Amino acid sequence: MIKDYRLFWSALGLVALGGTFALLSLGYPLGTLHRMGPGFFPLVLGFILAGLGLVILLGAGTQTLGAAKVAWRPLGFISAAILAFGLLIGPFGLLPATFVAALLSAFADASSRPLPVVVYSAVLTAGVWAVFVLVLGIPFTAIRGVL
Amino acid sequence: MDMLIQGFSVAFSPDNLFYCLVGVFLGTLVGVLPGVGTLASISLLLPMTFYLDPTTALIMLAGVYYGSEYGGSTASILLNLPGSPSNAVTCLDGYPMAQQGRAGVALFMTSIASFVGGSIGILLMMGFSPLLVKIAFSFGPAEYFALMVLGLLAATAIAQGSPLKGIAMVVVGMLIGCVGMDISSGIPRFTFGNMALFEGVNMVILAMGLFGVSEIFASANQLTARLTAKDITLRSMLPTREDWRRSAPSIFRGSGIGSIIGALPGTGATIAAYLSYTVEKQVSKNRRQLGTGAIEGISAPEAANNAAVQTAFIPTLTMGIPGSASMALILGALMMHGIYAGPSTMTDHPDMFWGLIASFWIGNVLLLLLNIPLVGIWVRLLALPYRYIFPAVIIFICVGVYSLTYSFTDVVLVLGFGLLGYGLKLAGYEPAPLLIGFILGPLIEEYLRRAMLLARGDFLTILQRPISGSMLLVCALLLGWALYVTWRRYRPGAPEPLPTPAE
Amino acid sequence: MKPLFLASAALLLFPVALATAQDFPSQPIHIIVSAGPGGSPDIFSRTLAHYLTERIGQPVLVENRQGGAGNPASEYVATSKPDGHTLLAVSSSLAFNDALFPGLPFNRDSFVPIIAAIGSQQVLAVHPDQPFETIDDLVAAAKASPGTISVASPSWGTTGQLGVLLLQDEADIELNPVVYRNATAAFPDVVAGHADAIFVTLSAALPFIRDGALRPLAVTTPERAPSLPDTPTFREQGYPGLVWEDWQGWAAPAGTPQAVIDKLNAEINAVIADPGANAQLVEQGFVPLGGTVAEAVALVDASDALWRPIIVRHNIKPE
Repeated sequence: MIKDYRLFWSALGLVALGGTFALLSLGYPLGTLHRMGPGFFPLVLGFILAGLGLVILLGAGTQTLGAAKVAWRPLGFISAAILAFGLLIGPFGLLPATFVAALLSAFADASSRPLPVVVYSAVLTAGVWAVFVLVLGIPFTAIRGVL
Repeated sequence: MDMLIQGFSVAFSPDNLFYCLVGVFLGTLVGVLPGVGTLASISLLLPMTFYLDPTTALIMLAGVYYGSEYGGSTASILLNLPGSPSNAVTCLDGYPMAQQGRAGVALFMTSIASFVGGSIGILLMMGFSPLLVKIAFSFGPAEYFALMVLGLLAATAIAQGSPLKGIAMVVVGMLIGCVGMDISSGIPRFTFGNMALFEGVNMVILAMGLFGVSEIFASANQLTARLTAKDITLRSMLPTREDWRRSAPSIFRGSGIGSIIGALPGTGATIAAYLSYTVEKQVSKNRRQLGTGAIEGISAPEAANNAAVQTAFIPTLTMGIPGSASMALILGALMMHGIYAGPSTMTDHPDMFWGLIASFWIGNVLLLLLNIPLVGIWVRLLALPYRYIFPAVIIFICVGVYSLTYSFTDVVLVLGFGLLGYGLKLAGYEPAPLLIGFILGPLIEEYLRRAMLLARGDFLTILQRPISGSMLLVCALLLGWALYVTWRRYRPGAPEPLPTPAE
Repeated sequence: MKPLFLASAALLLFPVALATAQDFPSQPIHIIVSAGPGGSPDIFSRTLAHYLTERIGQPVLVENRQGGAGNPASEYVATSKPDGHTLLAVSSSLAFNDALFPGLPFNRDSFVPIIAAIGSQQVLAVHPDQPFETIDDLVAAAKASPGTISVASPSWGTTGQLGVLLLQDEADIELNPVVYRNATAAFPDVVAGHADAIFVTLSAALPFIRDGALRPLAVTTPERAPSLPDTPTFREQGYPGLVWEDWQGWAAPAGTPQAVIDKLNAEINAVIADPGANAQLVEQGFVPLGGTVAEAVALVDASDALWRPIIVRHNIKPE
């Protein structure tokens, strides 16, 4: 009987992760004890992890963690912000990517209002440009095609 | 001694003093900014060194190097964001201290511990360089393998809750460490054809995702600032008598461990910090409080990594063998000036060698003077509402990560590790053992495979060597003890002690 | 429609300079280095860039794009605009990289070599406690007990690693090859005697050799190395198969106008001939090479002809 689903699923995840690594490792040469191949070490680790997962899984029947609430709002907005940064910086440059990412991440806080967020993002973008491009001189394209 | 006095006269020349200040200031700045590692900053300054005298150039670059170790702890304490991998340990107790309103104390003690650690490292370097070189030479692949295994076993003790979960996290970290091109066969493992993964997952990305991003997931939608302006008094920033008393032995232990580990070319400041933390976890009087905001948990590793940073110059300058990537960079800078570091550096370029050592100490004094006043400014940042802070942190993480290799994959990875870290937090796992597994795992594999190659497949030779053999014996004893403890905990009827509940 | 509009707008606002030899370079030149700062490709590139900036009146900037065994840097340059403003620091492995990493979206034909700026030798050196004085000693010992002599090489896919295999083939012996992460990881083991020998770039080994921490047995160049005049070549010792010259230089993306290539070649040759730059390169342990574009192409062909068969014969490739 399962008492705690988080513990149960996480342990199952460990078993799956270990199993996957072990399975993939079989695709690489295992080698000999003298000349170990690239598959040897991850294969052993994969088995150990899967084993540990199983033991924790057995424990999931007897223990419980406290209640937890998933912070969906920050998860959504901040993930979107990071992804947007990664997608925009190549084609558009540092400043547009920074501005959009700042905008998106600010809304992870439910109390954010549009106007202050836009101002804040603009200030932050200017700050990033000053620190990374002016002071540190990292070779970023600030705005593709312009700067 | 004459040499050292001469060294101080070199270091005290106005030019050298100025560039030393430039170096430590930039280093501190770069250390505070997450992601923009020492490596990036030294490489940015490298072109400048063309115009400088080699000794001056070296003094400046070295200043950046240890300055960033100083600065790196700031973001760890304030934001749970390790500015450089060796500061990740500082998150473990530094961030809880900040949450308890003791950020000022933590920052202050960090500066002191760093200064003492750095100074002890320098003293040992002056007095015992030949001895430390000898120790380093006696370490072959077998010895490194044994040392890393020992570190790994000790690291499972970092976990607060169930040791089983801690070990599982270590193994997950080691598996993530397997990603990338296998160094001896060139086969890319678990890269799924993605070139960005060829050289493996970057440690900075893993640490920032696991600690920094996941922390923002957990606390972004909480309006409150952690401090109100009223709370910020001078007294609240100064360590109490109790803090001093508890820190002193930890700082000395950390400095000793750091000095020795730093001198081994196959290790580095990160490993020094972790090992000293695990030692505290075993021997400190307050070991049970470690991980919940105990001052020992920051003073020991900070002393250790700064001591290690200093002694890392020993193999670099005496053998021409860099102890870390940043050291390799400094060697490169020397080569640009046509100076090849080697066993004769000390005799061929005594001005440079002793001038550099003297400048280390001056640099550490400058850092102390620079950082103590900064403590007040940093703590005031915490009085800002969190909603103004976290978007900036996210941006700094993104820019820092992107500047590493200009790759989209790295940005996705930092997000992925952030999600992983948040998930682990919810399920009651801790990220610290994962990180140490990630750091030590590839080294263990590399040294084991190399030791077996050199021993031509005979594991017994590894056990027969005195240093590696005795270290592995200690490992076996530790493992047996851990199994015994686990058995006692998991005995029918013995409830698992709950880890800190996730929010 | 939309991209076209954007493109024409960009054209109107910022007239794109069409690269001709007269107005080249019209903007800063970026040298992409796949190694980290302080690595040998970085050091020689920065030295050339420093002097080149003074000659051509445009900044020449070295950018490090690390990771991915150098492949992301190559891909970045291969897909850059072929106008001479984005160049790649290359080495012998430009010739056979596609044999080591099959399936990459670029190969040697994606680049035009501009110049082989510097040359370097590989040296086979042993720990001073080893009894070997010549290659024949080493070969005899390896024949007596196959697979016991451990030879370190700096990292996978380097000519040092391939050289160990070539030596095994040429002398018909079995060694115990140990591949390291990089040269700096390999030296401590050899100097401390944990490994017996090392096959590595001479300039990196020179400080150890001068201090007596390593004993050189042979160099790979056709002639003896100027920095090591007492060490015979492999050819002198009766191993004519082990003769090659490593080189490093710069290359441009394929399709770069010939006039631009020629101009760059002439300017870099002038830098190499400059006494200051030349002395600095020598101090850094390099052998200044220089020469025409045709000579650079010939070196690429020679590297290709030597190493591709070895790579194929030993099945050296990932997967």
